[in-house]
Amino acid sequence: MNPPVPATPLIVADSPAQPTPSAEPLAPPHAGPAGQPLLSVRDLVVRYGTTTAVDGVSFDIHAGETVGLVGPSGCGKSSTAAAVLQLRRPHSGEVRFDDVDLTALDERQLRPVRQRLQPVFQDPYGSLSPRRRIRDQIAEPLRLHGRWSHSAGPRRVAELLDMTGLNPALGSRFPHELSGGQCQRAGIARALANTPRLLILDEPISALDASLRAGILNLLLDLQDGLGLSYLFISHDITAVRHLSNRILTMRDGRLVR
Amino acid sequence: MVRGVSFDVHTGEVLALTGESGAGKSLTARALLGMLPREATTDGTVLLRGTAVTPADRGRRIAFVPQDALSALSPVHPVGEQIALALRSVQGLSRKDARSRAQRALAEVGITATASRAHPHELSGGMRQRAVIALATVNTPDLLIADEPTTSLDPATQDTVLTLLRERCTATGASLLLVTHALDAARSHADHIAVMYAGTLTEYGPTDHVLNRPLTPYTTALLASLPTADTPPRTRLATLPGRPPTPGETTAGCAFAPRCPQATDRCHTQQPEPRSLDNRIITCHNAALETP
Ligand SMILES: Nc1ncnc2c1ncn2[C@@H]1O[C@H](COP(=O)(O)OP(=O)(O)O)[C@@H](O)[C@H]1O
Ligand code: SF4
Ligand SMILES: [Mg+2]
Repeated sequence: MNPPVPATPLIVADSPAQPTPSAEPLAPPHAGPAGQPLLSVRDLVVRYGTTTAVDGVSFDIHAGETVGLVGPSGCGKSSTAAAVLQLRRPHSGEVRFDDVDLTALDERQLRPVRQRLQPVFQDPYGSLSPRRRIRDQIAEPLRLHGRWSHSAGPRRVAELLDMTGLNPALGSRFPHELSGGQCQRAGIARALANTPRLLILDEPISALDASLRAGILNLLLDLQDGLGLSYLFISHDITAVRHLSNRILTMRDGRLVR
Repeated sequence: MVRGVSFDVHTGEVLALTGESGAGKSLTARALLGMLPREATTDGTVLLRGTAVTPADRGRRIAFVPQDALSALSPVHPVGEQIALALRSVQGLSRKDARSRAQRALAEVGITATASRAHPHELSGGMRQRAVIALATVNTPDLLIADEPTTSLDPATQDTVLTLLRERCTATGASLLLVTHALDAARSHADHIAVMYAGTLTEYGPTDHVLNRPLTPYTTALLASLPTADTPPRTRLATLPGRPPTPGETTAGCAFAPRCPQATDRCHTQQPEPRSLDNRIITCHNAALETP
């Protein structure tokens, strides 16, 4: 039997292994001043060699808000997502998250930020390692950020599985033993491990069947209501974007259009 | 894995074959094309315009547009040359006639003479799919099968390419079997629709009837899970419990029974057979026309 799961799974109970934070120039993990956006992107430019994939994009996302991002394939949506996540460093521009410009941080300084700014990608199998059990992959970000303990760790993993609509018993499975929809839920569970504030969702439902898509959309709405998450939701399914978003940005040839 | 599937594609019409992945759409399409993997066994006949299709004339009478245009085109020849080659080998045209006929076929799908000299990799996804449509219709097949032809294109291009595909079929007299998981594409482009679930054809009929007034629980559930312009934003969508069976998984009764909100005892023990109801063919024990 799994130990009972607390009703509001917002905080990792105890984390004795947590290292004393080094002198990170970071704002506290909760929202900036009222009215201040959680994410503020200004004049973002992303280049691959001589190709300019993102050409001066600016937008804000506030706490608890879903901003949709649509546009034809190749217009620069994924490049924008990667630059916000600092997975690809932008050529120029600012990515302010919790009032800190991420473009000014080095990899070590970015580590604590990455707990609160998490990606969810399209391919549910591709974003999980095929050779490791689901529970170990969800535990990984907890271990990485010193939030794992023998008592609270497994409990937190069970809680995350439960929150994302998965039977905690599925934790002992490997990705190929889960359906596409279950895998995508496991990917979301891992993204939620370190209580993020903002999820960057790049085509999270595109690989899923109609009857499973609705379940993921409902899950995203439930998580947002329960945890106050913000989303940047990228999808070519315009009806899904309309359904989920408070505001929709349209991109073409690397720029936002109205 | 696909069982007892029968349907008609009327001459010159568009039939959408739809369902979730693993439902057997592509397998059905490939069976028609005679492109099944060697270990597959097939049974059944394909009649086109009243005559059975033999392996020998299948290639001429049935054409194919795949999801990935690059797989239908040769990477080493300009697209115009590839179409001319198809004309010469099937219709025995002279080099000169084939070239001018190919030029015309490409113009009809909006590809200029300059672009006809381009190699496939030099064209955009949408242009490539146009070239494949020209190639597939140039030898006037009786039936064109398009398997998710626009899935890799962006939304704005998708509709344009589907409209063009339908136009070219009408112009050359071909019937179109459009395999697609996108119900909105089926809604705007197909005369009839066939909904498949787990290798069975669950509901077939005129597109607007099936999508506006579905008679089987699976079509009803599928439609309910999709947000539309009328769905209030951010409300929870209808979902089905469980997941579709994996291909090859068999059940004693109806394949949809474990997830079906209307399942009765019989559904778990006895496989429903296809039957006619009103202007549909349905495979369900319990579906009935509502009495007004
Ligand atoms: N790793 C890469 N190297 C080179 N060019 C890339 C790379 N990733 C994307 N691009 C190019 O950047 C542009 C934008 O691509 P992308 O951000 O993936 O668009 P989207 O997600 O909207 O489809 C495209 O022209 C694409 O070819
Ligand atoms: S046969 Fe029974 S289980 Fe199958 S769809 Fe009809 S009602 Fe549902
Ligand atoms: Mg992308």
